Amino acid sequence: MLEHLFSVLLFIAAAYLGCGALVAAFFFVRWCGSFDPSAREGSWGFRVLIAPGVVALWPVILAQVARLQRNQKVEGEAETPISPEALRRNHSLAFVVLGILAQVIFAVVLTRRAPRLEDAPLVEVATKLTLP
Amino acid sequence: MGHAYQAVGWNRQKRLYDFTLLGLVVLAVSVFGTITALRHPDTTAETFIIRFTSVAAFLLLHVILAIGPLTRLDRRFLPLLYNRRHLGVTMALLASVHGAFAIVQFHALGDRNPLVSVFTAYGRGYAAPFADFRTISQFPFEIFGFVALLILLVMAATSHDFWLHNLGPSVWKALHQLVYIAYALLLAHVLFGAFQSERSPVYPALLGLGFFVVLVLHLLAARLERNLDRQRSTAQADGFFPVAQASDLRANEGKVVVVEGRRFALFVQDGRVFALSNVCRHQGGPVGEGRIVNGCITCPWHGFQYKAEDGCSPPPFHETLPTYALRLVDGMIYLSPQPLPPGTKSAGVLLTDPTPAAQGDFFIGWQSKMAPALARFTRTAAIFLAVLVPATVGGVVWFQHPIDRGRFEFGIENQFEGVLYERPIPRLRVTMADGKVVDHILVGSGKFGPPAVITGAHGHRVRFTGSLIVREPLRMIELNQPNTFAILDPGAAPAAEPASSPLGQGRFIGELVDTKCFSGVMRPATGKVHRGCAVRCLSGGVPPGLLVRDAYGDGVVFLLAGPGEEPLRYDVQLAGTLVEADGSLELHGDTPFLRVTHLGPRGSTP
Repeated sequence: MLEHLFSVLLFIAAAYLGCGALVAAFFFVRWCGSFDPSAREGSWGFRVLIAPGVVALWPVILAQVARLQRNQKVEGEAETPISPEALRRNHSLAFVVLGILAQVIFAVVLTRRAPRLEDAPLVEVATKLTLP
Repeated sequence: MGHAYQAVGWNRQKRLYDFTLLGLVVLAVSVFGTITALRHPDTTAETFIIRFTSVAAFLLLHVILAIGPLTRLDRRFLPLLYNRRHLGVTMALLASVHGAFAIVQFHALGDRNPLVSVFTAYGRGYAAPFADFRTISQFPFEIFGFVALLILLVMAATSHDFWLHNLGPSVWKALHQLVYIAYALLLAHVLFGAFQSERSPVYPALLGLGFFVVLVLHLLAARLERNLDRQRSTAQADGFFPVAQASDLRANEGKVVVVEGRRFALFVQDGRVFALSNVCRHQGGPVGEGRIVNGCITCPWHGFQYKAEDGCSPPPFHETLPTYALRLVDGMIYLSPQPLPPGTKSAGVLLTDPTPAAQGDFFIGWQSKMAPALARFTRTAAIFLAVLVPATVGGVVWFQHPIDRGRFEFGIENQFEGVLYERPIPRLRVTMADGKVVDHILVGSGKFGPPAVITGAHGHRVRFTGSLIVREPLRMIELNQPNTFAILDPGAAPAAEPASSPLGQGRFIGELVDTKCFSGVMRPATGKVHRGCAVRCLSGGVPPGLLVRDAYGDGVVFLLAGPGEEPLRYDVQLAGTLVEADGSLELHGDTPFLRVTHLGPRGSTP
């Protein structure tokens, strides 16, 4: 059951990355410079560097291309600055939660460690064996 | 942005940064390698790579997580922040090598897709803690590391400014804040994985210290920010808020002020005060903590620049910061939090008294030279890391649990000849050069039991080519070239099975191991970190063994066989855990066999 589930998930992941490779091919041949002028003259090193991201985030690329074809501004060019206040809130919350959660995991896992061979009783019969 | 993208916009500071980073990695691998060679010479190359990359990546992640709050607490750490993405990419690459080698080493060459095996090898462990909380340590640790690696890879893949621009700063920043989740997952990966096998108190101490430092730095930085945001001022009738005394300002240096929980940057240039948003358009850096360099306001994080009078970046760049109206009344500066239309030119507010010069050093990576005091501080930080990194990786490897023994003559092929017995476990009885007769257990390539070609050869003299695996008194042959297998006496009657010596009956408690890895193919071959591999090997037909503690404190393996002619039926997912086995022990040559009547988890016997 579990193996079947993960086999299906793996297939979906492979199909997703396959689509990503296809989109990446189109992206570098046709779209690269159209929605980001700075990418048009980008070096080959730059293209190699962003390729894994294009494969991984191809739906974002397709969404950007679709917006462009509808003559809409893409998000990066829109006035969508970072909200530092929200970031600071998230950051504080993340570390308060992490601080509590990590201590609980530390305590639980370290006190419930799996028994190892050293925890097993000695086997007397083994002394009767011919060992080197 | 306004210029063609490059892979890396190299400058002197970035080269120095990367050179130092490379030096630290080389230093770490040298120390790790030297101590491994001295204290754990049986370590295989794959194990060395898996362990070094994990330790180096995790340590680097702690450094990366510490840099952010350090810059908030002391601005002299800013040069470390400038090229932090290279640290992140290096860490992701090290983690990828760790992940790839671990998946190949422990899950490839078996009877399942390795990527499926990573999650399912002992999949019952997912539910076990819900049935019995005491078994929480059985939870598969691999899934934590896998998800963390995915996050780190997506972060590394989107670290270029192209992504920052095209995802938008807010989405990009949110994506990269997933590093905190990755850190939590990696803590779980280590605690549920390596910490189940490694019992030195040094490891919890090191991990606890690292976590404590990261946590305290972040909480201190958060408190600093919260205190700043708590500044209150009351609006005047015209909507302007008093924000600073003019005498508190310094020429060419920014000052961060807060109105209604929002931050603004005040800058004095040529005797005039200007107000802009404090949020850099690049990564949201605190513009007000920057300086005026080459006539432009310069963000302290990565050096993005804006003109004070209109908030626009100098050509060819086209980022724009909102600007705000100011007033000066009796030495107090008042600010209206309503932004002016983008790009509006402002004359600022003319100060009547001369402002003192900026204090302290400021450096941004694209500048040619760092002030001597700041350079000294940065060098000290680099030296501290040059001590911390090798000391930590050295400590980790020094206190490592002794590596399993054994020898696998990988790539060395020898011809073997002897009498083959298929039951109770396939083995070849070989007469050695000194006349002694020694049983060699047969296994196949990878994580498989002996190939089908041996079927029907029971009691016959055979010859084939294979590789030797030895962990005395256990000897095995990997029959990796089945096409060389030949029965030398096909017409002869099968030889009688040699007599075994009974050693008695009993219940034995020990670890269920796969005998191929235990004999020397894998080091380590026991414990939780190897559990997935052991499951795969047993599932592929490698003979199971029960590793018990003998009176010498070392381990001895009983080969497990069914009680009669039937093969042993058991749950392979028990591999790598302590089990109990009932049965009768018998000696075949020098090899102890346990004819099992019951095999289950500890306490499973009725």
